[in-house]
Amino acid sequence: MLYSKTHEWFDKDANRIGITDHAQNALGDLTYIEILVEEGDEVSIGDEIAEIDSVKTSEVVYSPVSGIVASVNEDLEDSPQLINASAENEGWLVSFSSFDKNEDLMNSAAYETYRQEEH
Amino acid sequence: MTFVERHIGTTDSQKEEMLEYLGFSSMEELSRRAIPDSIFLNKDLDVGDSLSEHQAEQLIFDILDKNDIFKSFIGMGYYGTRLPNVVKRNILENPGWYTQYTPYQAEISQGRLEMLFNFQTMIADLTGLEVSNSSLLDESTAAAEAMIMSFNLQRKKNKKRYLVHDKCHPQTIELLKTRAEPLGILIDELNFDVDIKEIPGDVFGLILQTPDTEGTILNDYSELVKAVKDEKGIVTVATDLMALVLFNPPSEYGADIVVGNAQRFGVPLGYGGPHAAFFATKEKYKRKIPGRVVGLSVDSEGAPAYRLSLQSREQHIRRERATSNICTSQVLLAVISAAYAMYHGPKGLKNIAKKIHFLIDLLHGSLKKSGFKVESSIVFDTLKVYCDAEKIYKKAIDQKINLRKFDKFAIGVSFDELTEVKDVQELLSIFGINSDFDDLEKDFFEKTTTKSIESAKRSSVYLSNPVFNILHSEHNMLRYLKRLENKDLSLTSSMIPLGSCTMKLNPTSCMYPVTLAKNSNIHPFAPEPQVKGYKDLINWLERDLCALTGFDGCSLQPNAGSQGEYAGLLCIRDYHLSNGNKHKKVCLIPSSAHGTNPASAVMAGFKVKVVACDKHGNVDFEDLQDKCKKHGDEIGALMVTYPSTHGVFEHKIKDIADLIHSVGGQVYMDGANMNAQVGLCRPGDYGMDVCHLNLHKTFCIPHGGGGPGVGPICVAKHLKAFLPSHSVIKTGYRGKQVSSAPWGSASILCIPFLYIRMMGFSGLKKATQTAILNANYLMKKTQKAYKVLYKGKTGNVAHEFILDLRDIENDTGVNVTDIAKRLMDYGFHAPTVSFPVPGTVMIEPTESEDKVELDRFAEALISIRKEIDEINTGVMPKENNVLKNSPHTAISIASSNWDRPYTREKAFFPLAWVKERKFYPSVSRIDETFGDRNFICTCPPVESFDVKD
Repeated sequence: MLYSKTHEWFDKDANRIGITDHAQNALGDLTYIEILVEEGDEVSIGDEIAEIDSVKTSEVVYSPVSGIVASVNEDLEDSPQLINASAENEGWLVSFSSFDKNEDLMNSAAYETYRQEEH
Repeated sequence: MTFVERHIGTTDSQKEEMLEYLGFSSMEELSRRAIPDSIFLNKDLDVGDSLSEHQAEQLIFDILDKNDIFKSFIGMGYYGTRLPNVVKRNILENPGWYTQYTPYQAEISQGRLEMLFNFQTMIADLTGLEVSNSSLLDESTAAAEAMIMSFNLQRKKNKKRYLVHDKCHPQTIELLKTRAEPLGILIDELNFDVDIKEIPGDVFGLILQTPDTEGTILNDYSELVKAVKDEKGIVTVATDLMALVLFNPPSEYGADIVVGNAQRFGVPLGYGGPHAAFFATKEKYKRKIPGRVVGLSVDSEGAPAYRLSLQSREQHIRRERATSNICTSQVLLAVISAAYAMYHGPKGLKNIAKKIHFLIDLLHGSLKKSGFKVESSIVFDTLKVYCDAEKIYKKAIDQKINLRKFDKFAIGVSFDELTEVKDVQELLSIFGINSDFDDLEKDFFEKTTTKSIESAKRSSVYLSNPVFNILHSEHNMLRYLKRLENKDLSLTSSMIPLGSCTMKLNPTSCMYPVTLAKNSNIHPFAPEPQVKGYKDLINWLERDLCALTGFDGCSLQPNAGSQGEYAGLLCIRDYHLSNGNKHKKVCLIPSSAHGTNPASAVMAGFKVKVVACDKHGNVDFEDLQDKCKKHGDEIGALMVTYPSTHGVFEHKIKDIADLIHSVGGQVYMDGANMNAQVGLCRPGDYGMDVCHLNLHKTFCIPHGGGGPGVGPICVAKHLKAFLPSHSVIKTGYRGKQVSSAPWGSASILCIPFLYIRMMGFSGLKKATQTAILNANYLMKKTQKAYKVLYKGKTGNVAHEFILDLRDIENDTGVNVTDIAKRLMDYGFHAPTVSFPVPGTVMIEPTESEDKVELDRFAEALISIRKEIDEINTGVMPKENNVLKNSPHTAISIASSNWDRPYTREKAFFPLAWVKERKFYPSVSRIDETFGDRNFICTCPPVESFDVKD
């Protein structure tokens, strides 16, 4: 797993991305996920790929990698709480069919340090 | 006692005590300490001396007497209506219904939330769509919101063209043009009669009006709808609520969005406003709908409870990502329209609509028989008649009748609830036709279904929910309204100390002229000679507001603060464009700004750049300098709130203005905090170029439980020409039209007008000084128990202050919401929560509260602090305590299995005086997440109200 400074994760084995458990925790109970891309879209690093709402906030999710969208997690439409329960697994947002490496992503230890420094 | 003394709660002897407590010798000394010397106003302003209540009453009578009430057949979206007396007296003239704040604290707002839910149900039923919001400002802005929503739904496809039916009301077409241009939207006017073969591929939507502005009911338009949808466009239909009672709703022809005006459901014409516009759409677009939506959720006991739903759509959360700057609805007026529908019920409404239709049909037939050419075959209430328009129009005026003049050759006649058979006869005589309808039976209209309706007659049912069917006896209606009123905490119960919202007294002496006939029964497009009283009042009030702000021009057209921001920014934009400065597109906004600021700037075509704030809550001057260097000549405007949203008079305000002017930018001041300035300093004197005022804050118009608002703008000389114009009535300016009506919500302008008259300059100044005194007094009282976040250089605050509760949350787990809800148990409304800083409350007491009320509020806050300390010291468990379980309802207190670690008395009557003035929250803590995840916005069948499984 690799992590971005804007609190997204990228799983290079499953080719999936999502938001980190830390981000989920900061947002609180999620009420709505709108995925802004669809299958076949070409996405660059930093593109807006989803909007995540809780009762009091609305945040944009930026893509941590570039690539072609293979699928989106349709379960989130009716069950946004999946991200609260399992942000870094079942709460994935988008999967890619091909992707380019992003050298700026951090490993888990580096992300943990970054997160604590940011706080 | 004078009015000034009645308005300002704090008495002179109390003031002395409070000043001594603060260590000041006089009010003058305190205000000089709070306000920087460099901007302090050292002169009196010309707004006259204070009048007594009796003198002011005579004055407003004299002014209104200059208005002439003509019978109006003008139509164009505004119609005569009868406000049922039981609704007039118990809602419109009742401070229990008009002095509440916006229902953010839902537990003590269940009454109006239920009424808004009824309004939404009514709109959804009548339009045939699934989702309705709880009203918008007027029909034209509702249409504009529909256009913007359609645009955003297709934004990714880069579509820019919007088709506008050329027979929408002219004020609607004009407003669509205003909104379209800054966003790069192209408007194509569309003639419905010309065969539309092909819809261009870059069309993102279409708006039709039916009945159109000339009265024609569009016959089946589903093919056109389909053609637009084939290009993935969104179809909006503007329509008339009363027509929907008889005719097929637009949803049956495939409309995605339906908008219109609910005014003719009981809300007086009022020379243009206020009234509630409606906006309904399909279930699949529920998260894209603009404005407030009331949703059903559950409270902590599992009981159904209403709340504002899906707020993450709104500008205060989305800021520059917002697609609309709407932050209010017209609650009081939506409540009245819903009550009107309950009063009449579906059958009563149908009778009203049938009568209107029958009478227009009678006129139609008689005119045709006499050889007049009349436009269209299917009509509801409006006819376009070809004739010598000039002659007919003048003849009508001679008989005190207003008609609509299209051009030299055509006249428009619109009927409404007030029209009678004798009016038809009178009109026919104007056309030179003798008529005799004496043999018409009394209930003729009930028995008749005119042939012309058949092809478009409504078959679907509406308003079948019990609430529209069981309140027809006056006792039932009266008791229902009172029951709901009692669920809402208003200024009739206690102070509402909302920071940045200025919940001051709404004086009865300012309120009562609102419902007088000479104020109410005037059409917004009535000819000028009939509205001399209104002209006097408007001109006088504009002069007052210019004098108090130090500006040269004023427009009363914007219907809310957000609309004022938008109008002000358009002035700035037009000014730059007129100087050939197309590139000045950057709008700087401090991070602490109200959420509407960035949303308004984006709508006005600006690119928002955020300026940082320093640790005292002031604009970070260094960052501002950096931004000015970086964007230089591209800077079009800075939006600044003064005193700042943190409740402090920034000393650098003049330097800030100079800096922006040095790069050719204009400075916009958000006037939300004007209550700290009136009579003490003026934006026009310290370098601002334009400001809006919230007349519903500083100048006593009631909040109405979440609308109406009035947000006029005042501008410096060089911007005056760019103030809003109007497509139907000349305003004297050439800027862009921002509201349906030329003077916005004209019928409530008597409130600020009378307030200013009765206060006079010295009274206004005293009010501001007292507001500052009250805030500083309350701050000093509460700072023993809580941390004050920001103070000015001198250790004082302006008219409001922020308590920082974040440490409390870290230590005890008690958060700002828990404290806000616990205040309800003490009978208070919470201050502003988590704005402008998360985890804090912002308190604004206003001048209208006296020392006794301030002491009571301070005592409640200090008592709550003790309750928090009990958690901190382990006396009370972290998760089960008076704060976490608040608010407590009578039902929970009366429950036979009380198992909480504190007594019922502590929960319910925490201080001795609470017993005497107990306010009973009708529901316990509402589950916000449940409500947003399980969205319900219209009355479900009664049995399904039990929503928690």
